[in-house]
Amino acid sequence: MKLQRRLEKAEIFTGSMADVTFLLIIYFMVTMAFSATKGLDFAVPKEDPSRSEIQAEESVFVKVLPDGSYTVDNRPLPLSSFADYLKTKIDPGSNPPVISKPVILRPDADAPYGAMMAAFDELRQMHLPDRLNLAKELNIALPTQREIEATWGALGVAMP
Amino acid sequence: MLKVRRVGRQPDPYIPTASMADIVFLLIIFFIVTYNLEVDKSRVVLPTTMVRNEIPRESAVISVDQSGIIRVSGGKETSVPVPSVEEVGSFASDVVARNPELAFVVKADKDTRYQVVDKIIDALKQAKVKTIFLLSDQKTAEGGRR
Repeated sequence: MKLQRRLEKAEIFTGSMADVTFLLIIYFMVTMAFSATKGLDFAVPKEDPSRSEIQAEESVFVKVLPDGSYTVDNRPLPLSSFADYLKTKIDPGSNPPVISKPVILRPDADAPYGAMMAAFDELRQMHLPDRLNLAKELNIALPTQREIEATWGALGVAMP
Repeated sequence: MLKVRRVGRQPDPYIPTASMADIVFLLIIFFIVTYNLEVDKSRVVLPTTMVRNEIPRESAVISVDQSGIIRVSGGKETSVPVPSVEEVGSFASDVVARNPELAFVVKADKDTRYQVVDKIIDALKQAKVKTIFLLSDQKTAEGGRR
């Protein structure tokens, strides 16, 4: 008598595939950083050897004090009033409005970094419609202590 | 009435799991696309800003944590502490010599004295770094963190 063999259906077992991929997902989740990928940028000015002279230029001077408060052109001013003050610095007759004067941001050595960032952020938003709606972003300078000392030295004047 | 009783083998209960692999593969693709290796694991409370621009991948990182410890990373390797802020300059010069276009990220705690950050920025400027990012968290309209 001929016995008929019952053949099992061919199958690739995929149940363990999910386990492997879950392990990979856990690896990616543990090693990746979600939030810390954005920040305030500033391009470092390029050196221009043809402009070695220092020229006096009217500017807006923002200072960050050690307690985290601010002075603008030597007058105490809260962050929320920066826009109102800078409105007076808009170039006369410019339409759309433009502020061509550079803004120098100078934090005190003991000022908290967070206060400097708050001021920098506020100044970077001045071109937005809910601030001054300027035609272009403000020209913000963030000189370092060494650069300031070098400038005063080049002028031959003792630092105030 | 005649009661018919089913005879024979009933199929075993079975939960199909093959589609699970498709779902997790989709998740993996998402993670690979958005993957960004955290080269610096120092815990800092970042300042919050409304203006935030995307930082290029594998940018070099200079971090200052709450205790004032400075760490540096070229962007691919895990950050290592440096003994003083003066070391940042020589590190940055080495990195810029290898890749002049590489952006640098300053990751500093919001309560850090500005003097430390000033020296780091100055060292980066002297090393001819072209773009510097100051890492921040998103500031919401109410002033909190998201």
